[in-house]
Amino acid sequence: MYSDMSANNSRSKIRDQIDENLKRIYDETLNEQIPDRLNQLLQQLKQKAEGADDDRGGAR
Amino acid sequence: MTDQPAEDPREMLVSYLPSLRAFAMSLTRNRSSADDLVQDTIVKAWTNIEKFAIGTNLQAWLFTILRNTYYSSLRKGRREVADPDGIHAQALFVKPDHDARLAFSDFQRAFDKLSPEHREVLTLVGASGFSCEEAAETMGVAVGTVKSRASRARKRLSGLMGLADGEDAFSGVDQASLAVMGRSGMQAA
Repeated sequence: MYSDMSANNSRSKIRDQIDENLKRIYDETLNEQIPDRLNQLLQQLKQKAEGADDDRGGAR
Repeated sequence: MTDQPAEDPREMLVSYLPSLRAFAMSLTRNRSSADDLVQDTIVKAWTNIEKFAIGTNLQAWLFTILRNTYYSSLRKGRREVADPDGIHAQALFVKPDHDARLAFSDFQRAFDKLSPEHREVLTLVGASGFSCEEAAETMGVAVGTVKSRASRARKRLSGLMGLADGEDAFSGVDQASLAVMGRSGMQAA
């Protein structure tokens, strides 16, 4: 009985530690600065879309 | 504050860059591959934005594009030795500390050795804040599959770190290393 309880405790302890470490790995990247190329990509896509909208408007 | 997202979901993509990068890193484990993957994801999302149903989960939609892009590039790319359950990686397991605490560097090494499918499910349910239902939607599988895959992934991870998921802290360690560990334990005491 005692060993069952301690096995369960140690299993949930390991589980908690795994989740803690998974979050740490995830958050390390989450908190990094976004590389310029990704922000620039979004800007370029936006400019292209606005240009395309203007073209359509002009053609009509 | 309304429940409605901005009219054009494309305007919201920028706010998902951090989580897209974090998810991409969990799959590729390489910063520049992760950023390439996010770049491809953004272009696909932008050009297919009319396929996104306004009011549904944009993050899950983006994560789906990202992981589908990743797995299809794996299939197209060089055929790596498939080791989805990390069988041969397990030979390289790290022995546990005496107090079974997981040192972060040991954890990272073990995490790197998991299959992408196992890293994916653990990241989605253990770190990203997704529910099992959202993870299932993202991965395109049933909720039960998410749960059983996550459970297998945890066991694999524990095994890679020499922790046997609580059943026996030293299973997977052969008798010779147990004897050595016993001796060094006595010397240390």
